[in-house]
Amino acid sequence: MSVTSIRLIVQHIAFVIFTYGGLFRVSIGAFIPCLSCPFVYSCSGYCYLFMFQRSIGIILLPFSGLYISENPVSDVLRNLSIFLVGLLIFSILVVILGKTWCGWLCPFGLFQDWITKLRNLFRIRESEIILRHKHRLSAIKYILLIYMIVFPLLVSVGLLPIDFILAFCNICPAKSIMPLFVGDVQYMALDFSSVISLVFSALLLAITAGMLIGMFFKDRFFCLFCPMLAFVNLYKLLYVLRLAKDPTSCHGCGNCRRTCSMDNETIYRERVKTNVYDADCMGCFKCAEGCAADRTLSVKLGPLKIFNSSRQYAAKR
Amino acid sequence: MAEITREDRQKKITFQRFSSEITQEYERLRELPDYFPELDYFLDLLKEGQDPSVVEKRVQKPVVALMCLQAPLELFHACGLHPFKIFGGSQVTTRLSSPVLPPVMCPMLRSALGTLMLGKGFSSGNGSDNSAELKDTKNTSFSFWGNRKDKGNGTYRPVGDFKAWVTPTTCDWVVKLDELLYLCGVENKTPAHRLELPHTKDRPESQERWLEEIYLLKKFLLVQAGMKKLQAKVLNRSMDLYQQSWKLFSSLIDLKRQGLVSLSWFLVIANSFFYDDIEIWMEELKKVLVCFRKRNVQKIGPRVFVAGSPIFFPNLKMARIIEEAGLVVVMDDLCSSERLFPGAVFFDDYSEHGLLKALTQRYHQGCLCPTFADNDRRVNNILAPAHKELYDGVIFHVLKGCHPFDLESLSLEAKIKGEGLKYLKLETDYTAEDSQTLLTRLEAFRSALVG
Repeated sequence: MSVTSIRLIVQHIAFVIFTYGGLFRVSIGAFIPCLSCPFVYSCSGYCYLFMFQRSIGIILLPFSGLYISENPVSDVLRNLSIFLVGLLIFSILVVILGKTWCGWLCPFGLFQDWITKLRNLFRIRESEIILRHKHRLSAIKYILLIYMIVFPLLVSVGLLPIDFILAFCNICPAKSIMPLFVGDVQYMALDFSSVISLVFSALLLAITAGMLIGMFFKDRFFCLFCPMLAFVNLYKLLYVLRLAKDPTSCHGCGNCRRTCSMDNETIYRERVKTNVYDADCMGCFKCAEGCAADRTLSVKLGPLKIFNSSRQYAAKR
Repeated sequence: MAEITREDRQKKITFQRFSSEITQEYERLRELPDYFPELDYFLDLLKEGQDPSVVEKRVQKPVVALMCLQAPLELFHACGLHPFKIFGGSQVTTRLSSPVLPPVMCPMLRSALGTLMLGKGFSSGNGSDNSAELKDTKNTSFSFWGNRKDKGNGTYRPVGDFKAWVTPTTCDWVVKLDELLYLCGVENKTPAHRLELPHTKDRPESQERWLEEIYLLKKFLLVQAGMKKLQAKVLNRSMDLYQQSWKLFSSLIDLKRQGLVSLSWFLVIANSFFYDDIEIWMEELKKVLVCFRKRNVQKIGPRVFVAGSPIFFPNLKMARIIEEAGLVVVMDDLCSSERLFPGAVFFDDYSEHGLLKALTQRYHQGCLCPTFADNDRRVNNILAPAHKELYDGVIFHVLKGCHPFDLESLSLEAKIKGEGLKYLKLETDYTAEDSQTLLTRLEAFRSALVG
């Protein structure tokens, strides 16, 4: 069985568990390093971005004057410890599996892969306009990461209303799309409960529409902007499961670049370093699988090589 | 009766010698100790298949001549055409073209041009073919494209059995093909297309230009095939078919790595690829693979990597001498051998553009031909850690006049020796005179490897 087949199976199992696990009382926690959307009522684990924003948003809340705290310092320390414990659990999960969270487990990632399949079914070409501006677009995810730290922080000090606490979730297309898989369409409508909610829901619908179009014409389009990918990328030097290249064996055939859904060039271009994790890499390892040069790309679990590229493997696919 | 000129007689003699050269090599191969009857299919293809009209009948498709493997073969197949790589492996035909060609020139192209010249003379005059002297050439053991009668006007056609020509501008000799054809007096009236190859691989602009060139090639092939549009699913099917054949070929490579298939037989199989329908060729290859595995006769001797200029049938001199010296070729990077297919082609865009892009990139970026300016990764195929453990030394084969390989051999030698590997450069041509010298050098090299 090829790595791609195994990945597809894992992706679908993960999708079912993350999306419907809650119906069977499966609970994986609130620190999941992928877009397992908490707005899906039956989800079994929460995307960490949700908890991250919430825990930042409450850190300084005792000082904001929004509620009366008997011991604000102690409350802040408790809030900070909640944030740090969450971050620690998230960090452990990221360090163990690295970017495979994005390529193998993310339910929203699988949704994007389905759209790509649909495009390929109609044999419609992938957009090259997005590709040309990729380096500029992919910087947006870091801006979003800063946005989702700054806005909840401003909420916590009372400078912004509480509606801004989930600054990113309010505009995340996973919030509108993923609940559809459990028949929930409430996030696909305008929310007239307040002006801020109306603005956010309108923005969300516009972003969702734009993302759906983008996803149709470009593989994993949303991942270019996903702050989770940016967040996970911060740990890239610590991953236990990682991708390595032996530049002295590479023929430069370009299979790695062509098979990459994120159109990463780093692996193809690298001629010296062995660490070829690109900032946009989603850890699917399709590059290693498509590489027909013996032992050029390998997947390592710590010091152990668990997969080596080879002509024989490429010929068996 | 038309007057027979000296030139015509010379061609007739060349043709007979050419025929006998092929027959001799055919018989020699059949007498090898590791010959088995299943290999006859490939040998017969090489013996009979050199005539494009024979190939045309066999594949039931128009045949398009191809001067170099740089053009994506899948595209020809998808357009309903059969690519026919013009090999120039005959020593005899080089003699015919030598007087009119530059003295230091690639013997492969010299041979190919000589072969084309065989047809030239027969097309001259009033088109009569009543000459008794010429008639007997038809009774030779195989036919040839120069020795054919045009159905239309009763004249022999020089290169008319091809539906079209495609010339990728790879090395200087192929770039100047038209000039060389003119020097040889060969008239080529078939539609021709020059496929301009950017000689840098890593620049995105080069990739864009190359893709544009492939689009032009597609347009040209569609016109030749009388088609209006190329459907993506048809191209995808052709690509799948070629991938299947590469996978089988890869199994043959595996057997070669184990020393179960000699370079001679590997070359016979690879060289015959263009002479039959790909699916039939694949079926026969499957049979041969089973036989090689069943026989399981491992060649004994120091293992070598052969790099450099290509080796074509019927001139398998280098392969023969290397094997006579007791060396076992387990790897090579010859475009007439292991590099016949560009290798695995993976992609994730299934549109027509995506497929063409994947093909063009694979044929361009992945190519190890020394014709490219930025070819620093070429040596990786030889010096990759996974490869180095398979062989004991490197033989670099240069055909005199094959400038890209000759130039490259200097830097490669430094890199290979720098890795502490044994290296031997052999410069030769198609003549048999240097066989003994080569054998002596190879035997000395063998001693060094064993030593």
